Amino acid sequence: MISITILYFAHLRETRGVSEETMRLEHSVSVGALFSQIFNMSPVGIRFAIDAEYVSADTVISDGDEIAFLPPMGGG
Amino acid sequence: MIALSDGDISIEEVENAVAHPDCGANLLFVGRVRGVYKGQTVHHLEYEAYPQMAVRRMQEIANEAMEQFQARVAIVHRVGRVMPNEISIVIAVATPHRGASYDASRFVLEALKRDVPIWKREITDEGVFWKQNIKPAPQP
Repeated sequence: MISITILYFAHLRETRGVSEETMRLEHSVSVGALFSQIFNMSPVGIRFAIDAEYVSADTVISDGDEIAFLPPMGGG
Repeated sequence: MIALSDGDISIEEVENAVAHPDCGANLLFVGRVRGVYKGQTVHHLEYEAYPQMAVRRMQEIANEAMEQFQARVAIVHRVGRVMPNEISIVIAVATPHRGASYDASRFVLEALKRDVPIWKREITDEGVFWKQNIKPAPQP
């Protein structure tokens, strides 16, 4: 069993209805697969971070990770 | 000076943060909110960030600008509600000579738009829209 924190931003936050949640998983999965499980769609255009650093979609999550799903950005 | 701000940004403070006796060129980029987009009146923008990662990425971009252009860089970006004509971002760069300042300023802004986790929502007459800098590439 692993425990992770997930952060949602912009339209993903609105869709999910929360900005942050803690989740317990029976098995480790990749961040991309986790996204697909939660949102029931493929992560087109979404980037991923673990503990505030970019990671690729196939990075496998570990206990205690802070996962962020990052929609296309709008800074500037 | 690398920061997010939920209040007005002082251009002078950001500029002063990079001024240095070795640098003969000091260039400011000031981004302001447009009050009109494609014919629609924009009431305001709302910026949100992943603060810890945004500040870290901005610092990394500033470090890259130092390596590539020998540029001293300061960046302050607004979060929260920003009204038309208000400042959303100030980038100050200082370099020994002017050419590198233009290159560094552009480099920092483009990298920020691409990689710094900040999002904006545009509130217009026609509705509320999340605005993105780069359209997602179609995936196979």
